[in-house]
Amino acid sequence: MIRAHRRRHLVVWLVLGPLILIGLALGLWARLAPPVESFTPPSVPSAEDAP
Amino acid sequence: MSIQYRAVQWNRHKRIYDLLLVAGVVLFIAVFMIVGLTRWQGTAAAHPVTLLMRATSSCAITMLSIILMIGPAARLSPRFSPLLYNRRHFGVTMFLVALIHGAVAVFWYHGFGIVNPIVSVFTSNARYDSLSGFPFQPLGVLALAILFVMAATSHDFWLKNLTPTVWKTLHMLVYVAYALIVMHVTLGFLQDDVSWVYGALLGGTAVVIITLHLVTGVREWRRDSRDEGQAFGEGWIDVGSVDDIELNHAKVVVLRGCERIAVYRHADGISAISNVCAHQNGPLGEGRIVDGCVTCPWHGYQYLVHNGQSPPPYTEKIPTYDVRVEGRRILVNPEANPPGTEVTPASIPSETSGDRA
Ligand code: HEM
Ligand code: FES
Repeated sequence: MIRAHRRRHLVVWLVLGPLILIGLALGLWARLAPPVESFTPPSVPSAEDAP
Repeated sequence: MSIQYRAVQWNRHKRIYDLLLVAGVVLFIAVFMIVGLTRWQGTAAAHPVTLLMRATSSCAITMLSIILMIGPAARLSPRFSPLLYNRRHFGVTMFLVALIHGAVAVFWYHGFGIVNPIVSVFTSNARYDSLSGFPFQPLGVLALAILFVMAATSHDFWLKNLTPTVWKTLHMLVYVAYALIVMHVTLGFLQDDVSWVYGALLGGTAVVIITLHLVTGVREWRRDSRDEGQAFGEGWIDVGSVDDIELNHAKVVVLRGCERIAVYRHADGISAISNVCAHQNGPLGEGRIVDGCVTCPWHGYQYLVHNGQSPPPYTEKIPTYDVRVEGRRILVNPEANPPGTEVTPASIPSETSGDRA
């Protein structure tokens, strides 16, 4: 390999490596974290509520 | 080496490599399908089409991970160099396997609506502001597009016409494709209710790949910033003793600011040529002399050691360097001669006269 290409490789991995790891960590965190908008069913009037 | 272009220049080695490659892919997908069909039954059963999609995607990402490890592994130990030999076929095969996964996904998930399936991949989910619901499929499409460009330009025709430097830079896009695929899987498959084993496998492999590239990258960069020669009078550099070099092998010399030089010891003495192969810039000094020619360890291109020219009918040429032997010390002139310049090998004095010197 030529000198310039070796340097380019290193720079690319110095940038991409942390990006990939941050992406992975964010993705796994999103899977772990509870959903933001927790679903609450709207109150539907039931038969008993009826006058 | 090429004087004319052929689809593939086959030889026994490549046939065996390709046979093993195809057998491996078929075995991987078959075992995945059989295990999938027999293990998950009843409510857990996956549709065979979904299984095919998963088998091909798992196979493709495994192949890509291996491909990305071969380069730095070969820099760390020459034991892995034979894997480099036909890495392009490995890459093209990986693209074809990933293409099956992508095509099945597009038609299976997007082929039954009224919207064009490809448009649907990009528009059916617009939750770009969500992590767990992120439209991960467009990431796969982008990665597949990159892999397509690389597979399409993998032939020596493109290598020659784009020049090895541009071609190699273009092919560094495979790293971007890998990053996209990691995110495709992280934001897609891993967000489903799947086992943590998959996340650990994906993350673990990514850490290994990144570490391998960074370790070799830093090592090479540190070596490049050293100077392994010592000035010896006007215009000559002492690069070591002839006794450091095994017959028909070379010593790779790093001089600051220059490309690396391969100093070969052979039957006629000492010769110095560029360390950079004309094919894909492979390290010629890590090869050896076979049938009288310096043979590149990557794909076997050959050069005559005294003039840097490929033996006829081939036409590749690399720079040569003027070289002298004083006592048993090798002196190289770091100014490269134009590619293909004849340089008489420096003869090695016999051991006894060397001892006296
Ligand atoms: C046209 C491009 C692509 C599309 C539309 C696409 C679509 C999909 C879909 C829908 C899934 C989820 C399937 C499921 O839930 O089981 C998936 C998963 C996955 N994809 Fe892709 N993909 C594409 C390209 C790629 C490429 C190039 C790779 C590279 C190897 C890849 C690797 C994976 C992997 C490893 C998984 C997780 C396992 C699986 O579920 O199959 N995909 N993809
Ligand atoms: S780099 Fe391919 S033969 Fe040298």
